[in-house]
Amino acid sequence: MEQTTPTITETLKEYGRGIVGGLLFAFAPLYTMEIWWQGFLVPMHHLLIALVSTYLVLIAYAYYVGLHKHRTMRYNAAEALESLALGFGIAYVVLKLVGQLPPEISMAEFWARMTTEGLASAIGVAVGSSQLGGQQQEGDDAAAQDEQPSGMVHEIAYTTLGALLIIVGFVPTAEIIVIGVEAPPLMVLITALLSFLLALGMVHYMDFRGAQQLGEGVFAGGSVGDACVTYTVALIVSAALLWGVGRFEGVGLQAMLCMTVYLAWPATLGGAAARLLL
Amino acid sequence: MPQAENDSQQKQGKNALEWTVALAGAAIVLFVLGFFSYQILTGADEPADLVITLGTPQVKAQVAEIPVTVHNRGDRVAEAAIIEVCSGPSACAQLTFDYVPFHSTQTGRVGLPLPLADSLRTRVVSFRDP
Repeated sequence: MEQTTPTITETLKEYGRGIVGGLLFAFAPLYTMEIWWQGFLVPMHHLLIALVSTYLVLIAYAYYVGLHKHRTMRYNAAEALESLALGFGIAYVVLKLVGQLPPEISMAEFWARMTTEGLASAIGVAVGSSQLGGQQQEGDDAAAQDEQPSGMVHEIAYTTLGALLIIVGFVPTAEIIVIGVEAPPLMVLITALLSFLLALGMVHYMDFRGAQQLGEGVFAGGSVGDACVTYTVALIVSAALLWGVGRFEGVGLQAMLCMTVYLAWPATLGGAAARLLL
Repeated sequence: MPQAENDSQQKQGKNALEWTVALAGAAIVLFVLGFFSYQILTGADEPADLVITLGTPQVKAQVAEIPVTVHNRGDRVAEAAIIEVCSGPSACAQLTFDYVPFHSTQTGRVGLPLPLADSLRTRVVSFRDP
């Protein structure tokens, strides 16, 4: 059995890409005060769920998007831990530099802030290290893409990953609440229809790169059924994240639905794009 | 499973640096899981309890600038906490903190006109439960 191991130099380059990706992806949440505060505003069991969920997402990401096609589950699990280590490192350095880890905060607050920001950064690290590679990796990537797994479960996984990548940075912001509770019902309905049309158009009608590979899709109902699944996944991911950051506490059903619909709009964009591009 | 078949042909390994970083990641995950689990299992759920401490006033242009320290002894966050410091019945200053997290300390300063009263009065005007 042949085993290939990267050199330290290759690893350092990959970490460099990961750190750049982490910063690109996580600067918005790292500079957003609602997200600094989110850690200590939500119940602690939400943080635990977020940590475990993100770890599982990173393993899935390593499985689907990894540049090297010959990987074991242990390898993917270790890859996800590396992303988390770098993500927490980025969160510590940036939060320290911007003065958001002052010495007077308690240990619980310290780790609450570090966890919310570290998890967002870790996702960016995973994306950056795999998507910002050089020419050699592009070749590997093209070869790996030919062998990408497909099928219903995989398409849903891609959609979930893409939706998470786009919205995880601004779920806790107050703007989502304001938009959700102030929007007239007609606008909410139009937004939902627009999101659905976006899912339909991106995957089947706008000739994005990678759209041909999907064909008529793997779901019943052809392109419309496919768009229904994409939008449903976006709604579920949005609702789960809103619950996770405590946005559903003490809120009526209509406000919950409105917030979910508005968050599902960018989530649909991310989910559809991920199916085409990842 | 296709991946298992590929694994039999060629495996992607990790070098010492990658394993070290992965172990660091595992340590962080285990610590955070353990720490928050411990906090959940052993922590009480007392409401926010703000304790105000005043520092030594500094005189600047006929105004006494007084350092204010607010410590939350409770287990919940105090949101939009308003702290009042008074020197006598008519000279009061207020200070607002967006959040005073559980078991954490926030600092600020208030300005009061000179001369200061012998003893300054402090109180928590209000805060929200998030």
